[in-house]
Amino acid sequence: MTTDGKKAARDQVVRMDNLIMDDLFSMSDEELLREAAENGIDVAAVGVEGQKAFERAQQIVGRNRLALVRQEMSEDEKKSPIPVDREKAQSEVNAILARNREMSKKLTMAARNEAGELSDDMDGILDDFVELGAIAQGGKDKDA
Amino acid sequence: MSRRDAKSAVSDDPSSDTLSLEEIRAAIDGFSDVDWLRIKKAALHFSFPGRCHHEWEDLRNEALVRSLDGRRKCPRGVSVPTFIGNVMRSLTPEVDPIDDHVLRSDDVEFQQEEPSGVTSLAETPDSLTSNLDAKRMITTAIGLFEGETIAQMLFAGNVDGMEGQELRDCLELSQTEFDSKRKFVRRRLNAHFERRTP
Repeated sequence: MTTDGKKAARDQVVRMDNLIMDDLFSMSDEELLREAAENGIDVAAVGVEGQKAFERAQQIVGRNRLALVRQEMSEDEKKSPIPVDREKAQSEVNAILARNREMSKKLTMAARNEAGELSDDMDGILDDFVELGAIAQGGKDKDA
Repeated sequence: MSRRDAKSAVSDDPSSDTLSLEEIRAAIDGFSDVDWLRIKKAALHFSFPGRCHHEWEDLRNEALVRSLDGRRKCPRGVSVPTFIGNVMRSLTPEVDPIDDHVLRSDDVEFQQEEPSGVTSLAETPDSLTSNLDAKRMITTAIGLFEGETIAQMLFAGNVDGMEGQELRDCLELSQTEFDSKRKFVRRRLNAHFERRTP
């Protein structure tokens, strides 16, 4: 078969597909229901089966997302800790918090889950600030 | 809100070019029995033995998963059942230049055309199925209209690329007669592909 012949055969199939898809998805519900009744198709059963397939698909998507989150968490755990001069960084954080009194209240309350002492969560706050880029890895406040 | 209303509502928000994951989920959740029937018929067509190694349910399920996880995005304004139909179409194996089978296009459902959003021939990848399969499918399909001269000519003209008006004039049919004959052709093709006999 020539290249043109091969392409022509494929094009014919594509056009046949177009004909079927065009009709199938543009005909009215009533028309399709009438056709289904003539062919003895239990449309309600097809609907129930479709809904079940949809629910299964949602479960698969949910499971896949969960697996991805687990994988990301596992990769995060494997990362080596960011090198930070803790003492210097802590004084920088205190300076930032002092400059932003309102933010300081909210942040420390949120970090402590509205309980406990601020110092309990300083490590977490330091890590967050470094990750956000507010403090450079050497402990320097970028805004300063 | 009825199922049909729910499906329309999510398609009308013009804030983005494609539906969000939640919108596509809500739209599919709102499918009517008839929508599922359309999808089943399309799946049966594209999973026809000799053309696709998957069962029709697998094709449908894969299309649902890819739509729900965002790998395939539904253009706003295209009806979601049509979109799912086109995702299934894009999953149908295509010819591999080396072993004559199984390449996939991830882009077919983006190639939408008015009014139903069905893929346009001009933008479709040029390898769809093996040449032998393609020839066999068309020969078999033309044979389905043995004794039905007008229907056979309509089908043959259509797959040869004749436009609707040109074909109608050629067959000397009124618009109503042409539409009716075209529906007959589609129903017979559907019936053939749903029998699952190559």
